[in-house]
Amino acid sequence: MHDWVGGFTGALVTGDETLEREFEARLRDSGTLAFRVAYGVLRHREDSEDVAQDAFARAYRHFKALRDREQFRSWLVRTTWRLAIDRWRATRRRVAREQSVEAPSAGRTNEDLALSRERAGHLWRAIDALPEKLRVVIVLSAIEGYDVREVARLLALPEGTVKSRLFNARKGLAEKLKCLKND
Amino acid sequence: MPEERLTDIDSELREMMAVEPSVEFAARVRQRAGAERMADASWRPAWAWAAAAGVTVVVVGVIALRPVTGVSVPPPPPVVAVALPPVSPRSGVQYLPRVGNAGVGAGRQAAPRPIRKVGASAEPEVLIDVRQTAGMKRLSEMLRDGNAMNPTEGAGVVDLPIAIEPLLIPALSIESAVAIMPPGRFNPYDFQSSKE
Repeated sequence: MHDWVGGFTGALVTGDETLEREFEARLRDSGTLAFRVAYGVLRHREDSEDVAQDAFARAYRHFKALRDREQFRSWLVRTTWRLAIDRWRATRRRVAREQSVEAPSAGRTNEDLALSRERAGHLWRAIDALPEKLRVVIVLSAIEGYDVREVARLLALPEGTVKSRLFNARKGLAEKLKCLKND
Repeated sequence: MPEERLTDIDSELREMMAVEPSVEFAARVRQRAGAERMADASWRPAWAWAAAAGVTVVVVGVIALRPVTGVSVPPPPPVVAVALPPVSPRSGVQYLPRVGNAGVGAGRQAAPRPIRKVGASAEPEVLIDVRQTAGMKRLSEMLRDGNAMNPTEGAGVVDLPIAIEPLLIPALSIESAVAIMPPGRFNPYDFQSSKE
C-alpha cells in the first residue's frame, strides 16, 4: 500500500516536473514572440511585458492541453494579441507610448534620429488605423523570422488568405503614410 | 504602387519590431507561474469543501422535500348522489318511460346552468347530462302521480318491448312427491308396504 501510494505520488511529482520543464522550454522559445506581439499593439515596453506575462500565466493554467509546441505558440500569439488589444482599447495611452530609444550611432546625427522617430510615429499611426485582421498580419510578419507560412500557422489561416491580407495591409499603410506626409 | 515603397515599409516595420524584452521578463513570468501554481494548490481544498457542502445541501433538500408515504394519498372521488323527490313504490310497473327531447320542462332543463365556484365547505358539484336529469325528474313525477302506467301520456314516450310474464309455480302435494321418489327407498308415506 505504502509502495503504491509512494509510486503514485512519485508519478505525480514526476509528471509535474515534466510539465514544469516543458513550460520552461516554451517560455524560452516563445517569450520574445509574445512580447513582440504585445509591443506591436501597445508600443510600450512595460505594458507589453505585463500583457505577455498575463498570456503566459493563462497558458500555464491550460498547459496540460497546450503541450504541443505549435499549438502552444498559436494559442499564445492569439491570446497575447487579444489581451494587448483589450489593454490598448482600455487605456489608449497613445501619448505616453514609448518611442524607440535609439542612441546616435556612427554616421547618424540627431536630426536623422528625429526624422526616423517622426517617420516611425507616422507608421504606427497608420498601422493603428488598419482593420484588426490586417493589422495582426502586418505586425506578425514584421517580426523577424516569421514569414507568410509561419504567420498562417500562428493564425490558423490559409497561406493565400495571409498573403492577400498582407498585400492589402501594405497598400493601406502606403496610402495612409502618403496622407500623413501631406498633412 | 511602387515596389520600393512597400519594401521600405517592410524594412521599417521590421526595424521597429526588433525589440527585446527586459532581462527580468522571464523571471517575472516564472514568478507569475509559481503564483498560479500556489493559487491552484490552495484553491483545490476550497473547491473540495465547496463541492462537499453543495452535495450535502442537495441531499438534505431531497430528503426534506421527499413526499412521505401514506400522507399524500389522493382523496377518494366524490360520491355522486342525486337527490330525487320521495317516490311511493308501486309494484307491477311494466313500462319504463324513455324521455325524449320534448319532455315536460325539457327545454327549461336543457338551459346551461351557471357555473358557480365551489368553496372548501361546499359539496362537490356533480355534472349530469341535462337530458338524464330531466328524464329522472319526469320518471319520479310520473311514479309519484301514478301516471307511469299510462305509456301514452306525453309525447316521446315509447313502449319498451319488454313483457314480464307471471311466474307459474305448480302446487305441491304429497302424492306428487311420492310419484317422483325413486323405488326401493323408504317411503314414509307408503303405509301399506310398512304394514307388511
